Amino acid sequence: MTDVTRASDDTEDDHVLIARWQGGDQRAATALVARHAVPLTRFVGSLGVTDAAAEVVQDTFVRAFGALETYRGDSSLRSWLFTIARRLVLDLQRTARRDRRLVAIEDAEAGLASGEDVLGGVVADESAARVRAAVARLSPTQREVFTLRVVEGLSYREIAAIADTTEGAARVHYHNAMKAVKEFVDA
Amino acid sequence: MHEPTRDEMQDRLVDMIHGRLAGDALASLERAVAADPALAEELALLRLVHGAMRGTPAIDVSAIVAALPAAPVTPSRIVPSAGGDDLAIRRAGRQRSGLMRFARAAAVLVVLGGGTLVAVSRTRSASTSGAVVTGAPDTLEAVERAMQLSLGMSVDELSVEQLDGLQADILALDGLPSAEPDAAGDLLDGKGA
Repeated sequence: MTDVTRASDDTEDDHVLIARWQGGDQRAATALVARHAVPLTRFVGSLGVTDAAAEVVQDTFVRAFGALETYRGDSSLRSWLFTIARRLVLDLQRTARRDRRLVAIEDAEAGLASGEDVLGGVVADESAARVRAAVARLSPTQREVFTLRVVEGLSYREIAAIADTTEGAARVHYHNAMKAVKEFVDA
Repeated sequence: MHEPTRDEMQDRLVDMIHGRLAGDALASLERAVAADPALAEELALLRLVHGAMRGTPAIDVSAIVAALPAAPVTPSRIVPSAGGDDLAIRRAGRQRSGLMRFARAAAVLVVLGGGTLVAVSRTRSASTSGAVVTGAPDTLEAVERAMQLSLGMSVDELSVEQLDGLQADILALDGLPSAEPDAAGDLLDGKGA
């Protein structure tokens, strides 16, 4: 037995739920959505999508369930969902900027600092607000990698697959982001 | 035992805040954090970031589920019980497939014997008596239509339990006909049942 427990249990549960859904059990779909919708929404928010977050998340699940036949289980379902969501966000960024559904980075920083963000919560703690402002100032790639690593706890390998980069590059982005956040918080 | 490097310790800080460390690995990291102020500072920052960013956005799960495509149910896909494995799924698939073949064959016998004449009008018939003898594909289609009418669903949609019940019902029939090639030949010749 290892002392470092990964998300293998969740992955096994996902596979069971997928098989149950494919057998016609709609409750399995509800369980899968309930399990992954929150981290997926957080991730979409970290990519700068605010108003359209719910739409992107729903579209992600629709596409994923429509293509579950092609899901081989090489990666975790969560990583697969994140990858689909990221592609949808990139499409959205390419085609819908003028709709102002995306918050530009500088706007996101202002929004985060004032406590208004995709999470819909109010940042009560000053230090937490400062951390969120620091994260909002990161480059898009740094913020994506940093969020996936710290908030979602993904491995560099999973992050590299989602962000379409290498493990080494993901590691560098993470450490640069950590350094930047620390400097901003300490300043 | 491999002593983790400082880089590995840093990597494990994330595992630590996500509660994925236990036993010796956790104790080792806790000792390292206690002895290394920089590592302790990084752990504190990670906890701060994790707490500040890991909010719980409001999600309408039911709306998402309602938008999902229907599950592509096929006969070979059986819903496993909790903790079911691939072997159980394959075994259940074989069981269901065997039951379906049995149900189809038994239903064909019923049709050939005149026990069930539902969907006769939709089936190509070589008979003028009302009993039906057809080629296998047409007969199976007729049987399936008959079952749809009687059960409100197609054979492929029946559960293992329903097929079990159907099997029991068929076996309990008093007048279960036997296959009679000569009689079938008469039907084909238009001599009646």
